[in-house]
Amino acid sequence: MKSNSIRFNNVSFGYSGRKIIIKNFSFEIPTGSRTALLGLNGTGKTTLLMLLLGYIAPLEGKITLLKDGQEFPITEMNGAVGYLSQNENIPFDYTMQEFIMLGRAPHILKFNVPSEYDFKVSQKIIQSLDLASLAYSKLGEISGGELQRVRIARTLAQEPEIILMDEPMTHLDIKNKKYLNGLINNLKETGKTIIYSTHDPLDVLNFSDRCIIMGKNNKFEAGETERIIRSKTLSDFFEIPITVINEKGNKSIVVH
Amino acid sequence: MKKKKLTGLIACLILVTLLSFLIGRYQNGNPFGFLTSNNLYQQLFFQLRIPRVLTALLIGSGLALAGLVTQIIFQNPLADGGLLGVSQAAGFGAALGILIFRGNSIWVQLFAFGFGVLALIISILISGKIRGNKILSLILAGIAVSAVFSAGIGILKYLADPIDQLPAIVFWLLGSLAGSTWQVLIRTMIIIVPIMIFFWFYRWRLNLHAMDKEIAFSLGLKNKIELWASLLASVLLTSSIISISGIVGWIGLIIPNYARMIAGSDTSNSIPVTLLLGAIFTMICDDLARALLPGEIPLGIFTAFLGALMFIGLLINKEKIT
Repeated sequence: MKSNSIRFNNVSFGYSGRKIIIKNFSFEIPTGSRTALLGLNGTGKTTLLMLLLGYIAPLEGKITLLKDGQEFPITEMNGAVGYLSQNENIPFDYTMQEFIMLGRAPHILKFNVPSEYDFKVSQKIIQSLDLASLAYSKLGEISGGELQRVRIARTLAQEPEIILMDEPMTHLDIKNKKYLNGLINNLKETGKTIIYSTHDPLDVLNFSDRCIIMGKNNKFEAGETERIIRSKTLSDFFEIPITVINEKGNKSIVVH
Repeated sequence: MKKKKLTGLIACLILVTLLSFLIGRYQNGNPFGFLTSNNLYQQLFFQLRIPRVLTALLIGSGLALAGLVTQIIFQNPLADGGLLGVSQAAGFGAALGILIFRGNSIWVQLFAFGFGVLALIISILISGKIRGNKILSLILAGIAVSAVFSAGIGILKYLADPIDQLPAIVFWLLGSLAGSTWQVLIRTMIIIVPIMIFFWFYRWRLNLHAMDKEIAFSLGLKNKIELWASLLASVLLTSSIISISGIVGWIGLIIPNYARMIAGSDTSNSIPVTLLLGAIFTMICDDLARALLPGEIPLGIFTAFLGALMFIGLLINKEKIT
């Protein structure tokens, strides 16, 4: 059987009237992998996530999902691509339970309300993320780390095949970061594809199988983490001297 | 718990409706006068008071619902149905109707309704020319459109005959249900009831409109039609109501906030409570307008006064308006 993957075929994108952000990107992301998008600010990481989500369409090229020998546009995957943004505007004070239930939307008909089954699914996710004690708390009352977990729970309630996360670690303390990494590993084991952006090469080295590194002037490289996270590549893309140490489980990044 | 609150509110609605039937000025306010053989009283009761109370019920629910939907779509708990210049434009339309057609009520209503919808269209057209966030652009365009029409109202007031037309315009702008009849009620229902039914079935999914657009997209809200249909429905609701009642303010702003306090933010819970509270609040205000003084007081004065007091209560009681 051919391996399943997300395929970028010569994809270019730029907002109308402004300069091209992504140019002639071609690569494959195997499904079931943890893939990091690494790069300096403004190199198009969020744009790439928006393309994967189908929220914006490429100016040129195609993004497709290759599944069991069939290839179809990623935009046809209704609700199967979950998205966790970096910041989220939540203007109304939902309870955690109500908020997580919103993740069930792709499975609920337009003129219907959540069913008993939807309730069960969301309960299971609440249990698995240790959120049960907060179920009736309002979102305004919980901490930033807890909110991040609640938002992840909503994304999981969606039961997506692909999960996109925009800098999920950025605002987290060490403890919550470790928890999130554990969670990403668990999700990988259930066969989900996780694609997240970051600007920390050490995160990539520790928590991803594959990496797409993005630089200025539409430069990019994609491949296995070990191949991308190397001193020369990093120094080149980040424009400062960087040394990568990666031997016998001892991983670190030294910036000179 | 939730069931209990809802049952309580429904009981409250029935009680207020029945009491409102009995409140009035005729015959020194004898509440059971319609039981006597007084023909005039019976006519007044069945032909004027009952349709008026039911109209208050209906427009209260409608304005509150339109406010809630607008707040959700604009992700802002302080928005209301008049946000896109709809109220001022409808007021302008009505004033124009009063000037041209000497107060013929059907034309006044048609003009109010037409200009309300026109304001939405102009706001959308202008917002299309503004760069950046669509929703913010729409609010800005709405503010501008609103200002233009309120200047227009000023001109019409200046031009109006001060003996006969000006008081009619002022009274209309302050809002009143004094002209309610069964015909008016039925005419209102034709637009309001289908929209209410639409939002009733859409009550859970409406939540998605309150989320950031990318996330809502990921959750399957991919079609712009759903957004525009909801927005258009809420504007139709507001302008059709304003066209019969005049500008009755504050209901759309204040009632959804209290509904969320009672039922929580999930729209599948807050919509039923919003409908009930809006109806109860408006009927009480209209009872006061009808019966407090020997002469009719404009309804908008009571909704604004009580609404503002409730708003202050909300600000004091809650650190965060949700």
